[in-house]
Amino acid sequence: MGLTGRADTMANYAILFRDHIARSIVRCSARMELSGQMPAAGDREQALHTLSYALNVEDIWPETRALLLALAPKMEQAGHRDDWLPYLDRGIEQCQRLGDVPAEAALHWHKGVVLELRCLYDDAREELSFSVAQFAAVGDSRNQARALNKLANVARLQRQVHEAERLVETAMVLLEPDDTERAYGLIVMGAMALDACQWPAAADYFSQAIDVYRASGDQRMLAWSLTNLGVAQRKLKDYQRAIACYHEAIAVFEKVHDPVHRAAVHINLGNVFLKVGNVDEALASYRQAEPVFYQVRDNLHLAFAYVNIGMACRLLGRWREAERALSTSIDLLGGLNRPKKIANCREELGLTYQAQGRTAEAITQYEQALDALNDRGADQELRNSILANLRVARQISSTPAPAST
Amino acid sequence: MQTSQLSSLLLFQKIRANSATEADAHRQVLDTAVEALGAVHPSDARLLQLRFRQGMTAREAGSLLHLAESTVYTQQREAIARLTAVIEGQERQIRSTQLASWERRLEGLATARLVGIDDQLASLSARLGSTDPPFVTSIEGIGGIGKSTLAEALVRRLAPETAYVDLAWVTARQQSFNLGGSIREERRSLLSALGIAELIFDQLWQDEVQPLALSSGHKLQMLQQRLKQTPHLVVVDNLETVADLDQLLPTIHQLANPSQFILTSRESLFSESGIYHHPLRELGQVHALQLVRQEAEERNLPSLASAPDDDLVPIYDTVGGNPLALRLVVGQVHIYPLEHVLNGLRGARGQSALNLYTYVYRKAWDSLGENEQSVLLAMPLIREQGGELDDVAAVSGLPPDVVGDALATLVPMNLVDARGDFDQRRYTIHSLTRTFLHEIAHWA
Repeated sequence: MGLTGRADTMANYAILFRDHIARSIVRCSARMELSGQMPAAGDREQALHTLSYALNVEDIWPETRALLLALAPKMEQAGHRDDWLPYLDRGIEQCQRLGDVPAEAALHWHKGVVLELRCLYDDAREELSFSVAQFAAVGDSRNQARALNKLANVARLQRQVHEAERLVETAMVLLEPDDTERAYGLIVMGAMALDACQWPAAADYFSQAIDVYRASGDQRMLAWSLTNLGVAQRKLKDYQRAIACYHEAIAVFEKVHDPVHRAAVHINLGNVFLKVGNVDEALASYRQAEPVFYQVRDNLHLAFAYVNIGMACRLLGRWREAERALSTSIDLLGGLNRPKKIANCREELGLTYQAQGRTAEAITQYEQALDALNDRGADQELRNSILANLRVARQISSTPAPAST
Repeated sequence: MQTSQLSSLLLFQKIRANSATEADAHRQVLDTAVEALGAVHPSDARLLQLRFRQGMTAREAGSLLHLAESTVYTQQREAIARLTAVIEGQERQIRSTQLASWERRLEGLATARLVGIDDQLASLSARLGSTDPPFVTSIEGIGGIGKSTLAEALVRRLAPETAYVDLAWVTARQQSFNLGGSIREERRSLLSALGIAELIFDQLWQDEVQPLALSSGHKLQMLQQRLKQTPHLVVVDNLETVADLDQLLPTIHQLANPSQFILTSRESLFSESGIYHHPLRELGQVHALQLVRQEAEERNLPSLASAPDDDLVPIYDTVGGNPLALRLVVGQVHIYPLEHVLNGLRGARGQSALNLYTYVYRKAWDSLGENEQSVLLAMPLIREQGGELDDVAAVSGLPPDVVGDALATLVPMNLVDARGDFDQRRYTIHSLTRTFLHEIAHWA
């Protein structure tokens, strides 16, 4: 005997409860639609809460799937990461149980995007590869191309240049000539040009992408392209244009409620300010980015924010803050296989120690920076800079101190 | 009316209870103290009698006692200081006797370290220490949430520092749930308003000779006379089980002021005026885990007491911050693995889990109509931070006015919490209620 006695009564309550779940899903979907760009935090919480029930009820899968897919880009955009992934996983499981391949392909795509933003590139590639295969299986070539483009970007982030190029080319073949998704391929190509220090080519790719997104009205991708163009302009030493690109990108990301990408632009903007000697502005810009990356546990960008904060603090003579930021950055980068950044960070820490007369500690940092670089030929400029600092530090160290009177 | 400067003393209030006027009581306190002083310092007592009872001037008293006038003033100051010490000693003694007497009337609920109620104790103590209305305070909340424990802690806190002449603690409880997981029937029939009044009377007159065959009406009259004359503290526990609440509440209002009443009830008395409502919410996670560890320590379960938060959070996730349920879990860990205990609660399996839900919810659930049950079953689907009436209506599929009516039943029964301000009310449920409703809906 249960709590309320009769079995038929219990069955009625079970049916009633499932009806409530179905209505709750419909309600959440309606609110998502009404909310436009970004639903309020309360609506997102309610949607997640409802999904936690609905994902266990097979009968209402079409409604649940609609909510899940509508929510996915908004959750990613609002900075949800680890708290959102379990819902995508449960959605994928449900797709597998019910044989819903198109929805599974889409959910793998969304999961891949979130994992990429979490800097979990191997996992992201796995998800995006599933997505490519499943979109191909159901003959959805446009979404297959989208997944290929995303996969290309992850390959690029993993320094697999040829693989990235091949993936973009495959995506382009699948897309119609006037499809705006082609612009994403241009962004990936531009990013690869940046990696190869081909600044004018990079600027050209990004400008083309900007034109496409301005015409199509895709604000978020427009802001992303502007950010990349800003990087290329900085490399081309056109700082005023770079700052203008970043300011426009920040405004657009603000408008579309994308705090994470806005924070990334703040880092870039800070870098330009630093370059033109406006250290206070640079530090203020970095500081705006730090809490956002911390909140979404984006350790890579958080590490970038800290190394830049450390550099700005060193230039302002705020040693304690500089040391703390740089040490934190080294810890974060240690887990992300970023030897060049670690070397850069250690050089900064060495300079911070050296400026305080702590030469022995500075030497240790320079030596560890060189160890981190190992024999990577592409980083010769950084290596030379570290070696020069090391020589100076050793010279100071070997010079006898003046005799005290 | 002039108030005696001694009125804050329990000593005064005790005497006042049997005096015709405040002035009589005031005089009796001082006379008794002077008499006690005379046993040790006869000259002090004599001087005070001459000066303040017989109304002699300092010169007249000095002449009689062969003292200079200035010496009279010096000795008078010293005598008053010693008299004050005598009164303080008498006050201490009477409070100590009273504490022992009150202790016998309490249920021993709040003897352990209490968790998460410090702020509530402070605010309620301040409220009860005030001489302003209302004189009835109602602690309201779902079963097992700690209403009686809070009331008892409040009594213990007030006892040493306030001038309540006496305490009455009566309970209308029919059942109790022990931490072994079983329910004990305490009373078969429901208590009536007169029955409650008689229980209060019996406690307050227990040390006095009562006339034989006193009628209930006469007892109520005597009770009213006493409680109106001097401040008493009266606790009526488990008010929701009183048969004729509509009779009892007017009676309580008649008896209150300056006496204070503390009521505990599963049902909120929002429709009644002249009552200060204190809703008791479940503990937050931090306090819930603190209670689990403390309980485990007291029960000699060192591994549970020292377990990291991650190991204990599933307890909170299952039963929320309901202290009775948390303590039941710890009690059961003596016998079963924790996971087994929690699974039992989640699926309402095992006699202990069934008894807990029966004790806390059964009567309330059975009393609900179809719409109320449907609305309550919609509540687990509302996020923990709560939802507005429209949200509940959309999920339940009932029109908003019907949902509003249902909430008007569910909120006073403390099955649903109404939070927020007058602009916006949000409705939510306790975690234990959520677990109970999952079981009702066969939701694994």
